[in-house]
Amino acid sequence: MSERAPPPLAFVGIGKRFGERRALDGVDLELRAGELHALLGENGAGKTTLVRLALGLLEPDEGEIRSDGVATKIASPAVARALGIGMVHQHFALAEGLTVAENLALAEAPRAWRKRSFEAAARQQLLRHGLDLDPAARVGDLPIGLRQRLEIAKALAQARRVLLLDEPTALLTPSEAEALFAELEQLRARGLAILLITHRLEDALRLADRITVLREGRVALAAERGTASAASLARALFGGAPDVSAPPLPPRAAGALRIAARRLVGERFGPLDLEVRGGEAVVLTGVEAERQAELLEVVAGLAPPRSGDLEVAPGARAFISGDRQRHGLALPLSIAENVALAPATFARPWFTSRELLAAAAPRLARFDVRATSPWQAAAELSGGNQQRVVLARELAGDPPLLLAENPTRGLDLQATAFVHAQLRAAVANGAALLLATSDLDEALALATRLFVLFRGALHPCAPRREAVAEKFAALAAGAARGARGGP
Amino acid sequence: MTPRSTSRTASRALLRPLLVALGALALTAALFALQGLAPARAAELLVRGAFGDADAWSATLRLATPLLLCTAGVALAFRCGLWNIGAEGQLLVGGLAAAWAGSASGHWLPALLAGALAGGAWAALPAWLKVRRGVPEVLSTLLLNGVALELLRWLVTGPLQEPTGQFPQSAPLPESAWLPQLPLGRTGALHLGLPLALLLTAACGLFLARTRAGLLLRAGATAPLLTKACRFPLARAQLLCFAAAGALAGLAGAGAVAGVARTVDRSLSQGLGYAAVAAALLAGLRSAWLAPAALLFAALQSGTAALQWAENLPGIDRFGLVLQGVAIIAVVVATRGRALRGGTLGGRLGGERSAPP
Repeated sequence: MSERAPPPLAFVGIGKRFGERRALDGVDLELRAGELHALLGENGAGKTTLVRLALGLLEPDEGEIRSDGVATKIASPAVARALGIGMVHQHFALAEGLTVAENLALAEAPRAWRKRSFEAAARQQLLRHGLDLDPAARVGDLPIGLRQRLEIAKALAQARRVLLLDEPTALLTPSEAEALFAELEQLRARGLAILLITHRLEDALRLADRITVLREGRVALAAERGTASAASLARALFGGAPDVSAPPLPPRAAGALRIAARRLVGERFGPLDLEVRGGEAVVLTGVEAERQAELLEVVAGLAPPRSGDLEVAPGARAFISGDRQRHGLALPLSIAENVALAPATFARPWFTSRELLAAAAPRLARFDVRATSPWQAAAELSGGNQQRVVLARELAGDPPLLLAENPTRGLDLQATAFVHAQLRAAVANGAALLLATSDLDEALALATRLFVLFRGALHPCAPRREAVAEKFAALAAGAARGARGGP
Repeated sequence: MTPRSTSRTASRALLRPLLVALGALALTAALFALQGLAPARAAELLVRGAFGDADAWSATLRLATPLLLCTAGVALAFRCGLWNIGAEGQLLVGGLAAAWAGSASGHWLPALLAGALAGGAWAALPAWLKVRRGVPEVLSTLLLNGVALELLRWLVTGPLQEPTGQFPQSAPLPESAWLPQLPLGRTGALHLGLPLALLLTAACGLFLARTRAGLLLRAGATAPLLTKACRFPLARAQLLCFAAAGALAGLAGAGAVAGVARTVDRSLSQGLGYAAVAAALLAGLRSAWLAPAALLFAALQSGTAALQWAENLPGIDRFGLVLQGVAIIAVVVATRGRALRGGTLGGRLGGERSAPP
């Protein structure tokens, strides 16, 4: 940038404490017009606190926030809105009973409440941002990927100058993420200041003009484009260099047949053939998270197939859902109780609290669940620890068959590495793993055999990045030709 | 969490309910003053009327017995994510069944069993509609309360009417079908139902906290797919749980008939089934607090009834309902609405926080 106008939003020496804990300590960070600033940090590093300060949900104890170089008190969300600061939250803030258009209208607080007028406005708005959404669709009926899309459209309505995004790709499929990044590129070119909170180092390195890494409330690293590497970011994040990319599992001699599906058809997939054996990790990847989820649920016996043959080896099996909060855990129950939900935890239909503790404690220890006590409600744990509780329940019996669907969705790097290590170890011990994931890195890190799930059908693919990219390109091109009516 | 922050949270957690309690007291005093009663005098009469002597105690406990059974039933269903607003109707059909079975058999045991069965069956209907047909149980249980009341009106003026045919009530139970009485107070209205209610309340708490089925039922309140993955027949269990909740309310009706009234008429319930919903929420659905909450509500009713006699203020006994309302509002304010919030389950409705033994 040639002219040096003061940035639309800058944090100067910001400090914030909650009780005895310093959430932020002397943090400097500038969001300049026409730049994308990536913010990295482990859970609890202070990212969320910083964002809440920008949105007027908290006020700093020390330091000041400047807008266009002028010290500004963002005392309320209304002030943030007036300053043109908008946010895409990691967890959706959508009214599920209302339509897409109505949700967009809520974000803008229109004068007139006429249904037709906001459907037309919503259509225009979505078109402008290149987001493919039906304005009349009820949000509760939309799959997760589309809800995220709506969240982004909503934030864009308010974020005239500064757009904050908290892990916007956590729930997106790779192609949706790419589309989002292209959109961010456009917005940056239009002069928006963008803050991208992410766990993904490669996204930060690829997209960001500036990168700030927070560790324990302090700036551990501030770098400009081209001056940081994955290694330096990882060091700043953890204070050391952890193994974030273990090599893929070696192919093994196949064990006993655990899953055999022939001409299997579900509501949104098939017909498909699939065999999974002990000691192998069969990974389904692709952009169709809803179809992946349904396929896994059918195999797990949680949803009926429409037709076809499905044989799953009887006996214990683990089912790790990507939707921790709704399917993975009973949030109001304690950690110990969540672990004890597994079949055959107790010999009798009843148990004493001592037996409950005796059953849960070793599992919680083995899976390194960090909680104040086993009686803490699962709802109070961080996402990473919640997933550890899920693993403690599902994997503790060393079941011979593992079914997992986006098991690291929304987790930070360390928690992701932990989950991967556990899955890897299970496969190495001879278990069969069927994993559906929208995260290509995850797919490549774990797969002994890889399939691309495209339009509900399986396409075998070599477990290498280029091979998957080529496969996608070919499938998408083929589909596009098909859509145009023949080759 | 550091020790300091723990103690800070704890002191704040105590401060808030304290302030709310003071506010509720002030509001109650103001309401008494509006009625032309000196608040201090009213409070004294209220407390004496509820707990002053053996008679007062027995009047309070007589009300508390069916209320606790209904409250236990409501809480059992709520904890499993089932919105049972039908304790009123379940109590009524339980009372009717007990009147019939007690007269027919001449013994109290069949009366109690018939009451529990009828209450359970009355609850099983909306439970089946929910589990198999997706009918919202809040509505179906609530509406069935009206059906139960009309059923009672018809039966006590028709098939079950007392032999002279003069009064809209059932034939009095033979003495052999009266519940064994407990020796307390002159009114002699304390019966086997009270220990039974305490026992069953404790049993429900143990079932939910210390059995696999209870655990999975509570998990099913927020994560049904998870229980399915754990190979638990959730729908069937929910049906049974709902029926058990109805059986508790039916038992309350049976106890009120075979233990106190000896006959059934329209005054059998007087809204106990609705008070039970309020009492269950007041207790935050915690098993250990159900009995104190039921006792408090019963005391408010018996106390205001005594107030009516002492001050000769007809209609002031309805004031008990006002005081119950104040208590509920106070709890909702003190817990910032968590006590009443069902869907997101801040930790209260889905299940009580397990505590170490």
